[in-house]
Amino acid sequence: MLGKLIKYDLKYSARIFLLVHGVFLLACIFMRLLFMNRIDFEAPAEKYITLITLIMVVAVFLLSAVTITTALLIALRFYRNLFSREGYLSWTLPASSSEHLLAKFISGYLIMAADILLVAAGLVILLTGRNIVDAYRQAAPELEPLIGSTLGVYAGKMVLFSILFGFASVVQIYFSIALGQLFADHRVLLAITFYFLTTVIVQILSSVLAVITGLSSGWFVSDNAAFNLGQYTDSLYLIMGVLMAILAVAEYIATNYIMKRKINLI
Amino acid sequence: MKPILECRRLTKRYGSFFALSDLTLTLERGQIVGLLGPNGSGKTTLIKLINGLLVPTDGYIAVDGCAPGVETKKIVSYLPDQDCLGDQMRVREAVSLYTDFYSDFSTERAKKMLDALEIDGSLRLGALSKGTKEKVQLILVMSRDARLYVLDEPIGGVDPAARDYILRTILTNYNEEATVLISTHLISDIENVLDHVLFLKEGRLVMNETVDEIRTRYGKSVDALFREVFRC
Repeated sequence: MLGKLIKYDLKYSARIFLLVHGVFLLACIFMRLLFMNRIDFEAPAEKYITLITLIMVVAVFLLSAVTITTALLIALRFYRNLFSREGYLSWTLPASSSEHLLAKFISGYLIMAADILLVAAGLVILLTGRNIVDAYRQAAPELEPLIGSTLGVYAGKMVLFSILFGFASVVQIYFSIALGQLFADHRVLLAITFYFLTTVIVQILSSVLAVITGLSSGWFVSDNAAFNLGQYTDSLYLIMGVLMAILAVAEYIATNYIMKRKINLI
Repeated sequence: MKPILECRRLTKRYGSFFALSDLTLTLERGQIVGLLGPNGSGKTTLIKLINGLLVPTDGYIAVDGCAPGVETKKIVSYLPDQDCLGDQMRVREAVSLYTDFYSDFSTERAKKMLDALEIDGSLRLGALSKGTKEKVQLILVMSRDARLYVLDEPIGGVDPAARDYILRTILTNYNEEATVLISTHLISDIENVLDHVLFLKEGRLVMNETVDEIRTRYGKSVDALFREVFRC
């Protein structure tokens, strides 16, 4: 039953997901071939700085659009399939509420992980032209001591962290929607409010943890700043990872309870 | 054998409003039951409770001896009073979905009924008229070999010719061991197929009789009695 639920979730999210990410990847290829590959980094900076800035603005815009669309896709599938009129079919399938939640969690996580990988692939396409690699080689002796590794390893860690803890974002979305369902009216508005509230709570807890562990006290900036910056990032990933994992487990348990005991499809 | 549906002091309350209040009833197998009452009388609330779409505020409900859950969903075939299939879905995908999830679903029976109505399986549900979409949903629901069919307003939104088709579909496709619970306020259209009627008024059960009892005791049709009981 779980496999079937996941299959249908992925099937009905696939079309928009593939379309949006296909457009993103094509835009990255387009920008690399038409603009990035033509930049001469040997020339004075004034000659290409405007173009680089423009490309980066467009890339950040596209990246944000793709990421937000993915989050919306996951949220909409969960809401529509379980709490709108489609819920009349979903909740009468011979599956338990726990199976529904687990299926949504797995499918949501797979979509989120695929999104992170495709966004990373888009950036790799955009930023690995020969001219950029050559320019990076020249800057590497200054940059690498600062980040404690090669840029590839540093970015790889960031992608790995995002994929490993992407589940926390998925659970946070589901938890907020489930909380909204506890109310008789304005359920969507309340779900959005709960999402922002939980985000603020995560931010506050992260700040508190950063103070407790000394990460916010600036200890990492010392004479040997390069080594410490890399260490700082690793420590940050570890602390944030533990915090997100604990919160995600608590939110998952609460969502499961709401779906089991409190669902009223009005 | 356990009754197919049993409710004891079943109550559903929203704030201070009682959608269903102290409802006690037992439904036996092998009959067609009309769940009748004006708008807001609690028909859909009862149906949602049977299907586990609402959590009761108080009381007990069991389908074939089990509280609504995975086991009861395997034996209850439910037609909601609204469109529950995604508009992007094609008719044949809806058939595949039922085939995948319900072990008692007969794909052959569904295809035969769709062919009889000349409904193209490749069409998206969003492209169908309201009446045709309702027919597709009914075909899916009646293509199951369920023990309890729960049909919420199956004839409410369709023309009289389609009503005849729907009633014929119900009558020719349900197993005689099964029970069919039909909610409607179009009583005259379905009166002839009913064995038993339940009248709900303001969330309470005010009548629970066989159609024959009503005709002998009151000397009236169910429709006439309904108009008398619920006169405004």
